[in-house]
Amino acid sequence: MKRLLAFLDKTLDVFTIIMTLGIVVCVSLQVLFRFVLEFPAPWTEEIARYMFVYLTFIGSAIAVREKTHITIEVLVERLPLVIRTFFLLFVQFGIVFFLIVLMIGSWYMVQNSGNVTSSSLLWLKMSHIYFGVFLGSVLMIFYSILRIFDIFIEFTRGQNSKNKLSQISGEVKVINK
Amino acid sequence: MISLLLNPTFLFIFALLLLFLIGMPVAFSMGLTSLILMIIDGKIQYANVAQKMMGGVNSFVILAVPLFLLAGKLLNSGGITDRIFAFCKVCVGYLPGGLGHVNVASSIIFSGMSGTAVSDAAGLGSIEIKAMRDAGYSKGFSSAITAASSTIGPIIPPSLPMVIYGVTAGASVGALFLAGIIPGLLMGLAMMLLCAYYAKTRSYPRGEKPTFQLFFMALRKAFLPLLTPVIIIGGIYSGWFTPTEAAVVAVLYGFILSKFVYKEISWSDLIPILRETARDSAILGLIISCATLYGNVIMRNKIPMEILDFFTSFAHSPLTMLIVLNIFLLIVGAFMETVSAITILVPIMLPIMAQYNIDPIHFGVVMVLNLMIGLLTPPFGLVLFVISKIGEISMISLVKELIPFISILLVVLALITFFPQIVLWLPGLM
Repeated sequence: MKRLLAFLDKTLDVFTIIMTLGIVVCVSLQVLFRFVLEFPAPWTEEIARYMFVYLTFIGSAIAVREKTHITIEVLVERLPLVIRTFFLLFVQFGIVFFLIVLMIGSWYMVQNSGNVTSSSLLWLKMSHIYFGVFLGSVLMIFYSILRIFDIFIEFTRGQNSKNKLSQISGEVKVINK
Repeated sequence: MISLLLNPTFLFIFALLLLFLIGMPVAFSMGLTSLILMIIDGKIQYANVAQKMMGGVNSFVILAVPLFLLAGKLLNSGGITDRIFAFCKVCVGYLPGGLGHVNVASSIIFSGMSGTAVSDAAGLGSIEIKAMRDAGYSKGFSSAITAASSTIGPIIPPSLPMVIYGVTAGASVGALFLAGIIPGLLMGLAMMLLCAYYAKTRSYPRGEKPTFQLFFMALRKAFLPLLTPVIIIGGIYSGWFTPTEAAVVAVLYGFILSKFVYKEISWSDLIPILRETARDSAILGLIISCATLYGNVIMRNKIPMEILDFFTSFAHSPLTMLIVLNIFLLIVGAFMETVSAITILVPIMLPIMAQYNIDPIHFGVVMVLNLMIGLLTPPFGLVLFVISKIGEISMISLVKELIPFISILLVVLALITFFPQIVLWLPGLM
């Protein structure tokens, strides 16, 4: 299970790196075509755009995993454990709810835009691009659920260590007396 | 009470702030708030959510985000920043308060290559602070001037916040880039004046006046990196490149410089650079994507119009409106990260700008400068965090030293707010 998870992480990591490199190559090709070969190649622009769609949604799954999405943490850090855990869970369930809507919507688009051709590449349909959104939302849901488990584990551990801590501080008090 | 709760505008502000407060990431907060508004409205339009989310990042302009991020990382290697610093030293190092001026000048030049303030502070900043400390400048002053000068980065092109503003406001990124040049130089000038004043009152050391020979040697060494801003700005100004194309040219140029000319990076260094770029861009991409959905939903609920009505009740001229917006943005900037603030506020502010005849290009520069000042003010100034770590200085003493710098930045802000010509002159020539 752990190795499978590590494999998934690695795959996503490599995938996003390839997408980034792909964007650089495609936009460079566009510049090359326009200035050096002097004929425009609209497909370079399109492919680069679609790569960014995939990069955004797959990369966001990594960011859910690594908890690097930009957050304004004002309140939560300083709250007592029980309330903090409640908020953390509320946030994760809210995220999962939003992502389920996105997943359903993008799957609908995957099914219904199979005939819509992206403008310059006839074999590429809009459904292929929406699949990136769908895949990303599924992965984000998966990692969010993992995070919910982690929060539970942290919570029980926190409870235990708090008990220990109060015991220790109790002992210190005794000694000070 | 219940009618107030069901009022979409109130509900939307309340929900968004609540989600921020309990620690939901900015992107998801915008997405979930949009869903709540849809539910109040009757039903969730699943396909619409997917279309708006995908459409938000399916644009050629937005590709400038990963590309400029990558270019900044490639050019922020030691060899290039050292050369720029050495060049600025022979240019302005002999003025009273020498290294302070060198610091500002290097930041100006580097801001022509990189698009974010935080990366300027982290990369170039460590060199600047070390050089100033070695020359005997106080910890507070070296850190403060480094922090302040890093905010020039996103004002002078290329600029990540300007790209995001352009995308959300539907304004020309090329024009925004050009509009930032003069305000950015003004910021630099203001900081140098302040530095000269300090040099007099605190009798700071000055460098020796360099000979022409030394000057040309430094120029020759720094010549290739110095070309980067020329290529980017010149390419956009002449209409040769779109901002996205200029970004890829900067990536290729930066790669050739640091890989083949200066041999600063090896092939294996490229993987972490690409990985960082991928992650940063995905995070920004999701914010833009959610913001597109959110902008669409709040427009359908006419929320910006209600907020506009609120403002028109007391602000009667464009000038009062601009002052109100400036104060509001300074407060927001102190709490919120730049890109999040832009994507959340621009959809609300667009109708206000239209109503009061405020030029979106002008307002873009004003807005970004406001948010840059926010990077220097507690409680959540990102640059403060970075510099206090690099400069090994406590936040409180750094903020104390920064107060004069923040004050002169406010003067520059007032200037570009009241005299739109400063901002709009260069893009008008294009």
